[in-house]
Amino acid sequence: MPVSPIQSRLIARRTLLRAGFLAAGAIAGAPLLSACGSGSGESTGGDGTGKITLGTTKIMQFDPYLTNTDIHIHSFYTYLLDYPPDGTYEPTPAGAEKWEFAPDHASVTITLRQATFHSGEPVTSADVVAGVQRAQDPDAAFTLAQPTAFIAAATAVDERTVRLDFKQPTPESLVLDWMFAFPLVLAASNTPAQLEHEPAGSGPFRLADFRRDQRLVLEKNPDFWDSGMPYLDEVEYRFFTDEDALIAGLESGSVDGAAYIGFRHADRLRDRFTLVEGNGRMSLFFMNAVIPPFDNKLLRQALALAIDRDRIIEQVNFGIGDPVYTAFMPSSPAFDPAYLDTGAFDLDAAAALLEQSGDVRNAVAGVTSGSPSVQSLEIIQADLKKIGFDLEIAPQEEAAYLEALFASELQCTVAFQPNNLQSPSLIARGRQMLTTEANTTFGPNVPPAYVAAVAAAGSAMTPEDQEAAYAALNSTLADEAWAIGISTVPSLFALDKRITGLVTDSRDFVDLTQTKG
Amino acid sequence: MSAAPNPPTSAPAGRRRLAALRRFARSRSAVVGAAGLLLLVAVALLAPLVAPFDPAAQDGEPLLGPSGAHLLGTDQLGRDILSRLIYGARASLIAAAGAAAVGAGIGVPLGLLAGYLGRWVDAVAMRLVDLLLAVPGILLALVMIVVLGPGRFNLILAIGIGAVPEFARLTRVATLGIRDRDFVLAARGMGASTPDTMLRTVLPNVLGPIVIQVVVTASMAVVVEAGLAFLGLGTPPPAPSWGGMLQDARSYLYQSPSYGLFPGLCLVATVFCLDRIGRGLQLAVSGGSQHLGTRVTSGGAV
Repeated sequence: MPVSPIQSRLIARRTLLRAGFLAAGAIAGAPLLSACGSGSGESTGGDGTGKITLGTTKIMQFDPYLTNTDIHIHSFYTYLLDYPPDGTYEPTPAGAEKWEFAPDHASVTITLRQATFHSGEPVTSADVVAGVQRAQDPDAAFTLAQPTAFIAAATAVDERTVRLDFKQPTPESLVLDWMFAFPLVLAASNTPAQLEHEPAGSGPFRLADFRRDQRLVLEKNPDFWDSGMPYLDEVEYRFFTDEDALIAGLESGSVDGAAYIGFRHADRLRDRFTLVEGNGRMSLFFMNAVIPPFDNKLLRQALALAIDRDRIIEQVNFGIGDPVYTAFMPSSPAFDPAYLDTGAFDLDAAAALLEQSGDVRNAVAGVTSGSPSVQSLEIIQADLKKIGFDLEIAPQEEAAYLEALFASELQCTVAFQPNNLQSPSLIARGRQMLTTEANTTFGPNVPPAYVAAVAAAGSAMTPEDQEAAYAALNSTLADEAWAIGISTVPSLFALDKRITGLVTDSRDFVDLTQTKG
Repeated sequence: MSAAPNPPTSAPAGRRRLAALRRFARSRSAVVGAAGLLLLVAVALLAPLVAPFDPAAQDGEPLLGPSGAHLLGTDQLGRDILSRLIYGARASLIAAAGAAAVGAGIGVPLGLLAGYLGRWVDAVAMRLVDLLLAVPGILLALVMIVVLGPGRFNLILAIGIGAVPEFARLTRVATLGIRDRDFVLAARGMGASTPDTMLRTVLPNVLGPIVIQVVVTASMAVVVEAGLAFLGLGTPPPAPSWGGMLQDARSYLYQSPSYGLFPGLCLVATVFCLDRIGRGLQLAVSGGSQHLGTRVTSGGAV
């Protein structure tokens, strides 16, 4: 029978409607079916047997001298001492059983705990000596080079005793911070090439399996020095390409926890998962003094007054975190809240300084596209626009951004800085914007006052001297105004409610030693 | 090419255009699409008059739902979503028009040269096109944005270059179909130079499918622009774009479920309008036939 065009259209519509209903039914039914399925015990997540699966988007390698990646390193290595996870600095013995400072504070003698590496070899003083030697080479150990600079020599006194001689009397707090950050690594394996693919530590977990960009499996170290620890038999990390996929994996039950997630997920996950806040880092607004327009100090000082920390915390960090003025966390002895008042958000004062600074009214901010820093910059941008300064935001792909950052090509940016523990002089560690020798914001012309202030903070012995040194350091940072603190940025973990005991240490490294699943 | 060539001596141009318009108007969905697009263009052009707020002004409370003060609510920085949608239409339409212009501007001459001159010109031009076709359009655009940096012009260039192969191949096929037809030979016989023949005799007779391809490319460009903005490689902030708004909204689905709905709907509506216009043009150009010999394509970009 011939079909008229109208009939044909009606039939097509009916077919379309039918298909639509079927599709809607399938969409509505899928969650129900999956909900039914989730009760079958097929979840790959942990079930209380001592295994947990954590999801992460971070890239991993195993060299503690070259990594700021924090999720797994603490599991592989024992450090000389530990600090409690509450952000205080009361040292407890770990790899070092005890330590004794010389009366003149020009050396410390460390007695190592009897322990073995994952390979079965004993931890000896020779491993510490080799580790110190490597740590003193900035090319081979960028995260530890500056903190190790106070050590003149490391000497193995006997099998388990090592003496560190300092270049000058050194405050205990700086030595303790160094011990906290110093990993015990088997001397024979302590090279970047060997540690890149395989850890060589004595920590609570050892490597069971690693497939790059897929999974990392840790198994309990039965010979761990702290008997009975860790509680977990196995920890599996799964890699996700982006944070939303990670959260979807958590919600679907394919992982038991999601590590280092954005604050934006907190509200959504709060009722169904345990949210753990780690010690985190700080976000700072950096201005590059090497290239125009921020080679103009007055301009930097003007922009420093146009940063609305409270609004950034509220709208970008979802109310999580505290304001900071320089690169010192509130737990740092150098944290001076008075600067939050004197350097508070004040657009009128910023406009007045801008007027004095000259005619330049524009700059370009580099940033990784899609990161929360874009929104921080958008808030700064809108405020600067009110005082006639045009801040252009140029989002870049992450690799291109980092390349430009290290090459000192960015005019300004919002970036992160790690916690400086209880030693403000550690502000100059790393290889980027706050080092004293050559950094990406001053090149070789780091302000002498800053260099002197860092040196003084690292050598002040008495409380009075320390107070004066920290004040001078804050004053220099405020005056030079190239690294303007915005806020602390705690790390965030979402965990299945049965998981307890996951904490981060003061550096924001995950510690799974007392985690139960 | 089954579309009949229109030698200069055929029916008066005015009557032909009217007939084509009538065929276009016969498709109700095409008319709806054209009306929708016209409305969108008008809103985009009159954005400063139509938008209730400055799209970059962070004056409101963040993540407000739809209300009397802010009809579609506010985003995470307190900006009016409706105003950003209206200004975002500009970004989408400029990208659509620009990409189609770049694609046609390079692809049509390339295809015309290849089809008309043949021999080594054809071989070289088609290998160039093959080279471009070997890379997926979205990947090509991504790489170009990363290399050239974000910005409206670079965005248009990146999407437009990805569309060159479709224009070039379409034009080449259409040119091949008519280059030996009598009216072309007659033009040549009367002493017209090669460029003159190509531009004044061949090109007007292959424009039909190209016009459809322009619309298809524009539709594709809207989606790719949104995709690149979604990946953070669109126009830099604070310039609003629908893809960028979708990316932002993704972070606040829990706090403000309606936020992501509006830019998504705008994208759907725009692509629908362009698609319907393309369909209408297809009917108009093919003389009412449901099939068009030279097939237009959305290419591999989406």
